Amino acid sequence: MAVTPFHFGASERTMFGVYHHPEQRTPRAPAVLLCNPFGEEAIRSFRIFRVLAERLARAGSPVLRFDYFGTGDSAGECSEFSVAGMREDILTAHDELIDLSAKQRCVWAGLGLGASAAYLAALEVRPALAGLVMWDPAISGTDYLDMLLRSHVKMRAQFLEQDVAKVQARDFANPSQLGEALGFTLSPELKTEISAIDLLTASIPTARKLSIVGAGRDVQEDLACRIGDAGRSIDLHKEEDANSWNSDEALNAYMVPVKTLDKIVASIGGEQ
Amino acid sequence: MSERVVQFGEGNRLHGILNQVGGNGPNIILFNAGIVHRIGAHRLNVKIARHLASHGFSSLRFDLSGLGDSAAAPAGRGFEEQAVMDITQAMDCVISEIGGDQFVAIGMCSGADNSYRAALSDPRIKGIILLDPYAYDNSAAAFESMISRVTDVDRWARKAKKMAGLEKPKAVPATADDDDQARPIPPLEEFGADLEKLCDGGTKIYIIYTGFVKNQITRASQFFSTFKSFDFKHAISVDVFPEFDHTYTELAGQDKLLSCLSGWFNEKFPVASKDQGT
Repeated sequence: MAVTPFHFGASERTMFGVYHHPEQRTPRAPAVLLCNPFGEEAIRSFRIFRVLAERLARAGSPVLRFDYFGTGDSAGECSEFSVAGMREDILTAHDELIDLSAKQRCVWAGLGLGASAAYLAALEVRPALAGLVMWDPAISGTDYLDMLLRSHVKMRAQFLEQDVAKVQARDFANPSQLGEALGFTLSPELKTEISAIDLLTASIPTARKLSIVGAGRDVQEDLACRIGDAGRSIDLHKEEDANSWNSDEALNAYMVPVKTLDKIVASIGGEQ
Repeated sequence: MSERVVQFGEGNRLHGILNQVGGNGPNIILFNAGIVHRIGAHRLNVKIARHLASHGFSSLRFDLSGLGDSAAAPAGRGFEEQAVMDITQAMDCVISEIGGDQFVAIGMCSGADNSYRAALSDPRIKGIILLDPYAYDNSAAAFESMISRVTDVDRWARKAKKMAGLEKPKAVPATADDDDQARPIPPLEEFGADLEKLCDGGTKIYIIYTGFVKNQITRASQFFSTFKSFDFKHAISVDVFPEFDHTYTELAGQDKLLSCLSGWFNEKFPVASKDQGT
């Protein structure tokens, strides 16, 4: 596996990325940009993204995975992370991938909040993406934020060996004032940005094909229907080995959802 | 940014980020806790590296063989032996890149185990910081823990509910009693003798325990009573924070940890330049 770790981007917004060189010459294989999720989910999905990148590179795609500003090995404090910044960073990474690979056909694959940011950023890409794969996207930012906050309270209750309801009432009576979730800063600005995400009302990006990979929740079917009703190409793949990204069981687990990766690789391969 | 990518080891298969500042103190080595990649749980290794860079200390955070971005090692060595070899190669890399021949290794959980083993094998390591290293039963801590449990009304209420079949069993919280069973713990005498050997050689040691081992230790004095038959020559500092979890999930815990680390460095290695930033 030939990989090149490197820094890229503007000096005031330096990001870390790993470029996976394609292992075979496949002219029709698209370049693939992987878009991380947020916070703890990004740490828990790190290995899965590495495996996904390796599989895609093996199939002939050049792949770039990277850390947004304020995350991972990129510059910036966690408190500087923002959804607007994610969108900006995805576009910067896209340009970097095009430069490195010399390919114009590009597919983005994002997980969680990274899928949502990719959906929103894809509106700004010219030429249009060949494909956009959204793995368990945060379709409603409000619901996603609520899940993060509940997971944080649950984590704290487990540590204290106390009832979640009691810990919530005592320490998190007003969860909206909570400034952190699962080890990462949730600034008021970031919470406002996340709350504003609603993919069911957002403009549909011009990617030639969109795919949703998820646990089959109603809201994912709603988004797929909306995209399909607009006359756009959409595939909805049901995860058979879904991860609960913020559960304790996902921490320190080497579980790679192979069946889900099969679907993502096949979906991207279908663009060839 | 003062950080750059480095690749080293056989075939450049080990990947890391070098954070170079101009201080003349020891260089810091950071690596994986468990299987979390080199940035650490909640990005702690990045935060530690950059915080200590602001105090004048350069660092390398990297992935051990087979973890994070690093490729697996050729078969033949056990994980522990390979980890020590990887840490040795990380120090070689730092010396070739920025110079300096003294190091402090910082490790959490299994990373703590690897840190102290590396220090035993490589005299260039002049200090180790062990976050939740091995902990051993202490009667005072066990008594405190028992009193806490006995007087926990909610705990009794939950037990009563379970016995009455009103509540389904829930996932057990991650404490050392559960998770550490998968982590081989050497006999107390062996760990104590190893620490004593390091102290004899002049290694400075800072141990920080959290609530992860609250059934074994709740106060620093318990550590020294547990190891009372050993002469650590005042080279070991201990802090215990039962209010924080194993990986410092809460931001208050992370801030406290960073503050403790820079305080220890500034006390034990005061020669570093103070005019450096990240």
